[in-house]
Amino acid sequence: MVLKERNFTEQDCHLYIISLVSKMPNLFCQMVKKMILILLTVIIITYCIHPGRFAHYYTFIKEEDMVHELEESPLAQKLSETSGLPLCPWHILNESSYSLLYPKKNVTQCDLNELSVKLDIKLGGTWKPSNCVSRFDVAIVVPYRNRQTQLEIFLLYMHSFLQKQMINYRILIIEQVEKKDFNRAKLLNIGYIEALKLFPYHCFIFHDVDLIPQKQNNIYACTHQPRHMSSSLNTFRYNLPYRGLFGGAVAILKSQFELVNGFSNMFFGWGGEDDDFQSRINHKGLSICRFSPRVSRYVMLTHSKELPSETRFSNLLAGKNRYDVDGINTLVYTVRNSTFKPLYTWILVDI
Amino acid sequence: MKDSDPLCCCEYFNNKNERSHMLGCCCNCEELDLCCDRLVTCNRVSCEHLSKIMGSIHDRFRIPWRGGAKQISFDSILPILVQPVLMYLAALNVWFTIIIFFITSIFLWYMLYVFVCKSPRTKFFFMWTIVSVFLLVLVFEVYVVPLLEILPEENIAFVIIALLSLFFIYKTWTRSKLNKVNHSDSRDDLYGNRNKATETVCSVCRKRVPPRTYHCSICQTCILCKEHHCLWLDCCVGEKNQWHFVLALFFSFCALFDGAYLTLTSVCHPIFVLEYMLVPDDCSDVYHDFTIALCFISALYSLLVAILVLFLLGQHCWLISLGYTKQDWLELPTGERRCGGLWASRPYNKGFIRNWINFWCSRSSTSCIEG
Repeated sequence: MVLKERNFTEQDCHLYIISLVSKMPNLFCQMVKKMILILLTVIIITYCIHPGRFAHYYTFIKEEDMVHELEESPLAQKLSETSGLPLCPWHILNESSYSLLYPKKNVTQCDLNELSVKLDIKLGGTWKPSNCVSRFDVAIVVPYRNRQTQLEIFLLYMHSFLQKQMINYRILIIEQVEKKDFNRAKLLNIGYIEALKLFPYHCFIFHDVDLIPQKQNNIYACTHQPRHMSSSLNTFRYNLPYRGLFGGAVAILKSQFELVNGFSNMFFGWGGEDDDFQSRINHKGLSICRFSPRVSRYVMLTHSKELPSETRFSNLLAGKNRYDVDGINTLVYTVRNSTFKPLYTWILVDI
Repeated sequence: MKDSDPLCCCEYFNNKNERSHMLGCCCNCEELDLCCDRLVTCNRVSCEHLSKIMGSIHDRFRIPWRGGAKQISFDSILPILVQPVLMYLAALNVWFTIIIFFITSIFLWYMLYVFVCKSPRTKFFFMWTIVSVFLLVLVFEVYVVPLLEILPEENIAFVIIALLSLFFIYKTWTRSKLNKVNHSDSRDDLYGNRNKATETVCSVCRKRVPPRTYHCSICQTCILCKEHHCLWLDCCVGEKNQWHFVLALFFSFCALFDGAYLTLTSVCHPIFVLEYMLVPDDCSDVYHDFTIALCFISALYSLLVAILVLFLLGQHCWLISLGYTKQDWLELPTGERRCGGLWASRPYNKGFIRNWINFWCSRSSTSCIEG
């Protein structure tokens, strides 16, 4: 090594530099190739693990705070004073077992017939606790068309579920006549108007017929802010796909529903109306809240998925301009049939 | 045009060493002409003629490439054509799924039989692996992830496992070259001087080789402590890449299983078992939507492959614990294979712990010599 250094003349140096320079393009080319390869790998891996492509975590009301967040009916206090009965206790909120409830899948007509007698359900699917005054007056509005088996499973399960929560409730099934595409949002608006004709409910729950709550402490009452109830659904692997989701089962106060002017009436076919409703709520300065994933577990009853409506995106975009001119103040419909059935109030409408 | 001119990207030299162009692929086939002549004149068309036609079809099957069209063997592009079609068909409905899975497994068995006998150097199985991995990843990224049902952590865990499995597969593949016995004099001397007694002679190469070395007819060389030739990875597994191979099996199993689990819980209706275990419960409605069906059958496929991989992994671990290589095992007489080979003579067994230490140190050959 030392010997070599001594013999290293100026000419050698020149030769060395020349050889280095001649190799430069080749080296440069290799380096660029390597860089491109590394860059590509990094891009692919970042794309693969980018959190935006996955389910989201969300902020929620803790289980111990649920009591303070609930909005009690203004009528309850007065009623309790006049009738002398105490207000119902909160004990259901503290019931937090790990096990999940599942509905009975094969419902017979016999089960349904027995149910109204056994649970003392009044005609029209309404009930209230007899030994205390319920803190919540809730109308459960269910849009419906052509889902007989699911409706039976839903009714059999929900009545006993709601009675354990000591709520003054009524189940309204709003059915659309077979003419146009299904318009879930408009049916919910109709349900709101029709429910108010029967009783001054202060809280509304808009509920799909295929959703079954799995935790008894997921109370069917309104919170101070509109609440997304089905935030942990089994078909979404009990995760929340995106934070803006506000469909399935939602609870909203009457005053708030009036403020946002209800749902849009324009969404025919599947999809879009829940996102529109969410942006209506945000537009009026309200924000949505959720209970913890452990509480808000839901199971979806199986059915074939509908094809998404082709107009849902255009409707969603155009919807921004008509929050005040499209909703419950512009609702037009005709009631074809309105019957108090043993387990629910049935309203058949033409929209 | 002279033959010495450089080839354009569509030109090539055919098997008679004539300069040809890809555009002429359907013109002027002498073998076919001959056959037609014989057919018209009512002469017998022998197998030889047919195989000549096949030969020229094979020769003309090329893709344009820099510096002359490249010949591609038919069997290596077969998986690229077949797998997407099978996948599409299987996703149509439940009966198609059952039939296609059944047919595919029979088809693969048949291919295994055909290729092992006729042309063992085929790239068919290697291509099958690559296309499968590509399609599974594609379906997962394009259809399963956008359902927005998988949590970021679950995905990161999955990506890490998948990358690890790919890394070890790659390592197995690159290190397989180290297994080849170097027939140079120095090596011959080294073993010759030290262990003449235990040394054997390869009957094919007619060279002296260390003990426990077997000739691989596919690699056409002797492999040190040969495990087996893996058709799916197109390389021999031996002394130098054995533990990479076992880890590749392990991580492939994890990745396949995890992918199948994530996909099935996404597309089927899952339920909780034992409070935190999410398991798919009701898959009855997957065929209503084609993309969902595609996710479902890809999950099913990876689950089946995962089971096979697990079986292989178990077999390897068992044999390593006993101090066998797979080749040793295959050469055992059937009578001695009872009880998983526990009672057979095991000349290279060093005891359970030493076997595994040797395995992790890629040292099984030296241990052979000591034994």
